[in-house]
Amino acid sequence: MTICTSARVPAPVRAGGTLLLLFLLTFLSLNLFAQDTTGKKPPPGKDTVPAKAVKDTAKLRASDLKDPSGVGGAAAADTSIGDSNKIKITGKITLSGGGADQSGSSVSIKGTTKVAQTDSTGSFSILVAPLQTLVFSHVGYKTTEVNVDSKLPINLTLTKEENTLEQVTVSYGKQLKRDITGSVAKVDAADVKDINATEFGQKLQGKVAGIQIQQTSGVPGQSIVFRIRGAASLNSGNQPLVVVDGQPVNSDAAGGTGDINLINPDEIESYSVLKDAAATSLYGSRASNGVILITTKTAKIGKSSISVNAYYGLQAVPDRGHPNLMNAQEFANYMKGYYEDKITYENWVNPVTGTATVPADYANPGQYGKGENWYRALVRTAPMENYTVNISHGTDKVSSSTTMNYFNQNGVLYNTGTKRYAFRSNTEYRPNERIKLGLNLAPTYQIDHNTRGGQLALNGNRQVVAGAELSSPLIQPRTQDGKWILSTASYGMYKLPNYLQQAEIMDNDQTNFHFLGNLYAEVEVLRGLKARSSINGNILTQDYNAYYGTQFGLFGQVPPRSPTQSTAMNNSNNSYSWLNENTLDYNTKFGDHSLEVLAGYTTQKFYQTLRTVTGTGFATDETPFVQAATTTTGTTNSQEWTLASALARVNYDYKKRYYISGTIRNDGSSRFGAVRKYGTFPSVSVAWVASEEKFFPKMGALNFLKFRGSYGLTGNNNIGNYTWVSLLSSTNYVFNGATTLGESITNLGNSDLTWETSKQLDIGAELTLLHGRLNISYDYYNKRTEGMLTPLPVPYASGYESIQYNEGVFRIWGHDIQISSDNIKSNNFTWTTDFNISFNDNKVISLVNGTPIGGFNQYSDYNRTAVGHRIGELYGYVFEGLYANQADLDKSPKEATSAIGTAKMKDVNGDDTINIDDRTFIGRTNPKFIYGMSNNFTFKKFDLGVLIAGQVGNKIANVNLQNLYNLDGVFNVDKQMQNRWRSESNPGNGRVPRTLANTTELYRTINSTWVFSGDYLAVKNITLGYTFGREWLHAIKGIRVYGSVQNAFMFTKYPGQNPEVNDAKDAATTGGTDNGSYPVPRVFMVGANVNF
Amino acid sequence: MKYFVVFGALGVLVLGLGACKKDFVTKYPQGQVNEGNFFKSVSDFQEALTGAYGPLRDAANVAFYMEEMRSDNTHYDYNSKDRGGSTSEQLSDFMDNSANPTILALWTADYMGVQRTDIVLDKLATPPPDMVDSVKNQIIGEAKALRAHYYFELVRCYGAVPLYLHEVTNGQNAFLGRSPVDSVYGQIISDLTDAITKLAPPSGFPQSGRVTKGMASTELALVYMTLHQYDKALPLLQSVTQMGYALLPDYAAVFDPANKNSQESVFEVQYKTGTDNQASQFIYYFIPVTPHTTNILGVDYNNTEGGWNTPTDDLVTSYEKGDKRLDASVGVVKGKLDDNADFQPDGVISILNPDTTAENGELYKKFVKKQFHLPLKTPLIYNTDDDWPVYRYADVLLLLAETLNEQGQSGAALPYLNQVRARAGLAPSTVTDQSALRDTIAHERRVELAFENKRWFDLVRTGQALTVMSAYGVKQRATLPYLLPQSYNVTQNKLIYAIPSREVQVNPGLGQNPGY
Repeated sequence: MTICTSARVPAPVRAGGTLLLLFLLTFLSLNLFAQDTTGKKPPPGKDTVPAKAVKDTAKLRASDLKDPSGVGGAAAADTSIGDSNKIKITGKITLSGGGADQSGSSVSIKGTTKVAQTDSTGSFSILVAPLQTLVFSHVGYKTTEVNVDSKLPINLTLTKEENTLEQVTVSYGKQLKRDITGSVAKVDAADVKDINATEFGQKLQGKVAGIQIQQTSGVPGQSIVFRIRGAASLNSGNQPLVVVDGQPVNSDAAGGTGDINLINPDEIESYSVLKDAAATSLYGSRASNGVILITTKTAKIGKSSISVNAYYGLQAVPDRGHPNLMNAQEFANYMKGYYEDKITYENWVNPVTGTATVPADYANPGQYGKGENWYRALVRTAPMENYTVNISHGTDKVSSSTTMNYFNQNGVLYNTGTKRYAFRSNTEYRPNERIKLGLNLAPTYQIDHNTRGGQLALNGNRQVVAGAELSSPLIQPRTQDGKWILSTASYGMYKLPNYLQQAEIMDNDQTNFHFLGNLYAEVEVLRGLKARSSINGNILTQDYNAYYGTQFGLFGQVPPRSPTQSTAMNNSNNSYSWLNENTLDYNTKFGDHSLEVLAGYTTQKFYQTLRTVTGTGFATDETPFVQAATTTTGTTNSQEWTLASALARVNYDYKKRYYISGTIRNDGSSRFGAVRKYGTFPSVSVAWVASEEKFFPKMGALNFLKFRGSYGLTGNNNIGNYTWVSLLSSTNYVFNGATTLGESITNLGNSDLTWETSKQLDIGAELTLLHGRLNISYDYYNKRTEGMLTPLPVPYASGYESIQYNEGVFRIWGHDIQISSDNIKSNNFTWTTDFNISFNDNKVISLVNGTPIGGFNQYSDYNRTAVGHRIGELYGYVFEGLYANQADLDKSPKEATSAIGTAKMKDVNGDDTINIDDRTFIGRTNPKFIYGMSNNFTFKKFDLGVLIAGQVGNKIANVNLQNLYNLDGVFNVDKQMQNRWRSESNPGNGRVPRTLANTTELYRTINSTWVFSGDYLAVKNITLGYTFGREWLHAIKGIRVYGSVQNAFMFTKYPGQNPEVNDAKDAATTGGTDNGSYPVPRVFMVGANVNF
Repeated sequence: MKYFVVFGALGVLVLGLGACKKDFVTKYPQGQVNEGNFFKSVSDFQEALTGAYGPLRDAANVAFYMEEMRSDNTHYDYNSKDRGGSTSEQLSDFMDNSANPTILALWTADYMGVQRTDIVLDKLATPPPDMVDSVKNQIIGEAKALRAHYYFELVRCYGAVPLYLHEVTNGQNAFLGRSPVDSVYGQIISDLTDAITKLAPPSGFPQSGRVTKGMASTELALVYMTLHQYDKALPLLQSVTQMGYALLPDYAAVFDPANKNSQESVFEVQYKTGTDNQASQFIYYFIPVTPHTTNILGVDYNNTEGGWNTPTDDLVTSYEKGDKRLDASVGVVKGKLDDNADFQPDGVISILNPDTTAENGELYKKFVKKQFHLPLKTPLIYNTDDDWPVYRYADVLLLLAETLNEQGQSGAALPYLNQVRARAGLAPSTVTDQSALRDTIAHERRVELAFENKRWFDLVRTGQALTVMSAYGVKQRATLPYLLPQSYNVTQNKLIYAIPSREVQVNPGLGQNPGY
């Protein structure tokens, strides 16, 4: 019998069936074991695990140590009172470098299964028979043994183990750090707890080598862009796969299973960043951008706690990086000159007055002061606050952790913000040693106020921020009696609405409900053989409502407008995704050999329905919903994708010295053409712990040395759901006066479409020096991506713009270096430094037909990807100055509109004329290297952390300069425009052309004057904390209060606000542009962590 | 044994699910028709043919910039506050280059039409079993006439162009080089000739709006006249006069949406007001830029798209006295500039009796009236019902007159010319000198077909473009101070447009037209 006999069986039923089968197996195996134990009675988990191994791992899992009576954990010590031989030992275990919470150390009696746990101050008590030995252990710390010979309290400090013994979450499991053969970086949430963030990505900024995290704008909750080891794809997305407790969650527009922006950072326990193919290839066709594994908080066995974290902050836009706009007097003076030149050179007559005189607005600049600064008018100081309560309780049977969170961030732009209510409950039941049943539930509700765009957005070309910059400084936002002034255009300017008014009346909110649930069962079927099955559900509902009433205006449109044009919109979508995973994991040891074999089968399905409803014509602005509209139009649609995969892994080591690991995944995906639906992604990796060799000097500075290497294939399937099949769209026409149905192929399919494959080589080394005080890791990687999923631009003459193709090759390579150091360790003072630096570069090796991608148009198409170049280099004219005089004009190559005093661009192709063919590559958009450094200090009960991050070598095109360098007298402009060419005797600074009609266009197409260095060094975070001890208040185990500054200082040559800006966000082929983005604030906060 | 049970069960579990794989990972879009389930039935083919008409509108929406504003009939209303339209101005001023977005838009529209007809024609190689020959021939006839129509516009605008005659299915057959002008015309003639044999004249009036034998014959005649093969044009045009067409009595009524596809209409691009995306917007492009259109259109709209295709004085003054067509073709908006230099219209007045009592500072802005039909249906703003005329019977009559005159039959030409003049309220022409009659007919075409995208192609076709446009350019430069000295440099190279830069960048084998 198979569970699925027909494809018609609904998938959730199949998944449910799987789980049911697993429960049956559980029952069966329990019976089997029951017979086993009566026959042989080995205390489970004792005799099979060599003592050495236990010590090596320094990880005494409660299940390994449990009293066979079933009464385990801390309770064991108490219930055994009555044995008169025993004495009660108390004491305190301090964790070196530990924080406020000192709990979680195990105190066990050697040779027995008795165990006690320390509380948050590190205190413990245990009943011990004389001459027994106590073993003190803690994950990540050296295990220490003490012989009990008196009742004296035992106070000792556990020192940190070489961090190679840390447990790290990896694809489909956990491994000790020293056993990992791939390139994996782990970040504990505790280490980044002071980075207060809407999005978890902010917390990882500057922390891990090889991952570039950019805060591309200040939009609350939607600004972080990841890039692991450089961009991996041209058009198929570059965001890593984010896996929360085994469940992939990503915001892919073509059916993302959720939204990573909705994950509450406070429910996260740790992050694993998987970088090379060995680490990621178990995620197969979704792995080539790297993977971030998120593990959420679970309760520790034997530990109960309630903790409250709260912070409150004020956000403000720093002065540095404001646009360099003219004030009122400067602008009036500029416009006066503009019209003087028009009179001189164009015989201009004011059509209003019929005279050749400067318009009244500008005739007397002296009458104006500074006027209105529209950029400053839009930004404000805004609060943000966050409250999280975590209740966690762990016994040997049940672990339960519940996190509740309220987050509220007002935006630094007027009338914007985000609120989030998040809840997570993780519970695991362990009815006996062999069974784990878990249920994780995590609903999140988020309200985004005016941050999701619409007919008028905050970010982007000629939207609120950029539009406000162009507004006339001669005009105030309101009249003296407080009414809005509707237009901000002075005489002759383009029709600009009052963007402050627009920000105030903006009314487009999105609510997001996201639910993640995991249900799993893990059964140890045989000793060492675990079967695990899980069903993961993911529900996302988004609802967007917007209203644009009679007062609505945008670039070129000044209100009021007719109520017949008022529009209300509702866009909503509902999606679910389920994932069923079934794995078998077998672990065994024979002699010096360790072997782990994992095999599994997973299926996933995503289904979404979406709809938009638009209503136009409203009697009044008081009814901003479609119900009140005169005309309503709407549409609905659906999309789905499926993925069915088999996976396997083998890990083998000999003497914990020689490691070899192989993984393989086979994916079948609905996204790909009938011809190539299935792809196989293998990887192999090896590691050698050289420091375990006999010849390796045991004394000396170098304590641990590991070399590793890997090679493997990963894929990328982000191409949308139906790109492989030719799609028809309705192309209706009118016959006999009535609309007649028409259908035409509008998207050309490609039935050969399949994965984009990355072949990645990684060579790395890890070493530990000075007894664990200095840890260094280094990786070199070289990735070759073949069969890029890219829309091949085809001639429009073919009837299409592009065809999805698997062609083209490019190469990405780089170096990741990570160093962490305990600089000073003394009782009262500690200083640790973590530093990382990543070098990354790429080159396009080939493209179909050699056809470049992008840069075809000189207006909104600023990047080109071409063979021999990097992905998405900036592409435009090279500015060479001005035509100084007639002689210069005569001898120089010219554009059709060139005149004396106009912009002279470089004749790149040497054909003696300037046109669109003279554009060239004018800047790389990816940095040569990025770096981060955090320094943490503790002095007695004070702690101080400083995080620095930066990048070097990239260029940014401030494309908003197409407006701010506009010489047509229609916008407020950059102050430099004051120094423009006025006449041969008054040529200005020689860099800014004249304002002569019909000659200004070339200067406002993309050219080298828009391109700036993106180098920066930022002090991202400074936090100063103080921890109160337990003596302070008995009910409370510990309190830490802190103050911090985020985005404290920015040192950069980039004149714009944010050198991490990237309007295109994810798209590598159109990166590196700044189009007037939402400013990134500096945040001052105070916070407290309280443990009960 | 027991372990075997366990492993066995797990094995079944894994393999059992594996059995579902193939169906599980094949998904077709539910909200969109796809190639897998289309081109199966007769109606699928008819729908695909309907889709091939759509690009007629995309082309008509931009063609006036390149086919009328390029000529001496229309110019533009210089907009100093919004220079975003400068590339459209350049088309009028002979300052355009290969990066011009309108040049790309027309190219794209015509080729989209070509591709859709290619698909229909190729897929008809395996017609549905129940498709009868008459239906099949009708589809082939319409598709071929449409394809020829698209290519005829392409070859006249861009010269030698790539000849896509089969469905593009992948990157290999998407890149073609250019075919010589002769080959393009050869294909046009072959397609139209075949279409004429397969299509029928209109079965009645008003017509459906589909391509007819009348349209294909008229177009083929014009193709031959463009190639100066007047002898071949003549019988075609004569056949059209036998198909039931006639002039409407009132010139202005020809353009009224109430008379769509009338007896005078040989072919027009169909539009329909409403919320189903079939509407036209021409009048918004033709009236001036103004924050409030109420006093012009009766509905309020912030019209930023206007000021294009404005009738020139050169044209207006060329109408004969008493010609009814002037008032029917050209309107005047009266208005004033406000303090902010925005145009605030007061109302529409007739070109025939300008309001001389106007206050000081009153401005008069001419606009094309052929798509101006009030009242507009509210609340549909920026949404009009007007069709775009392609061939009218008046055009056929004038082509016929021209063909006869070119063949030395000037006397025979006059009745056709005078039919058109009579309807305009003008006295019959009696010119019989071939050369003088040639000028008379050309002028008649200019005013009869003003703003119907005929003038530029007529100037080029008859070899008048260089002289007429150069002389006109001198006048323009003298009166319009914003024009650069480089403007109206009319050369032989400028009689066709540049190949759109994007196309040359993607397909460098195309090369560029000389002078661009």
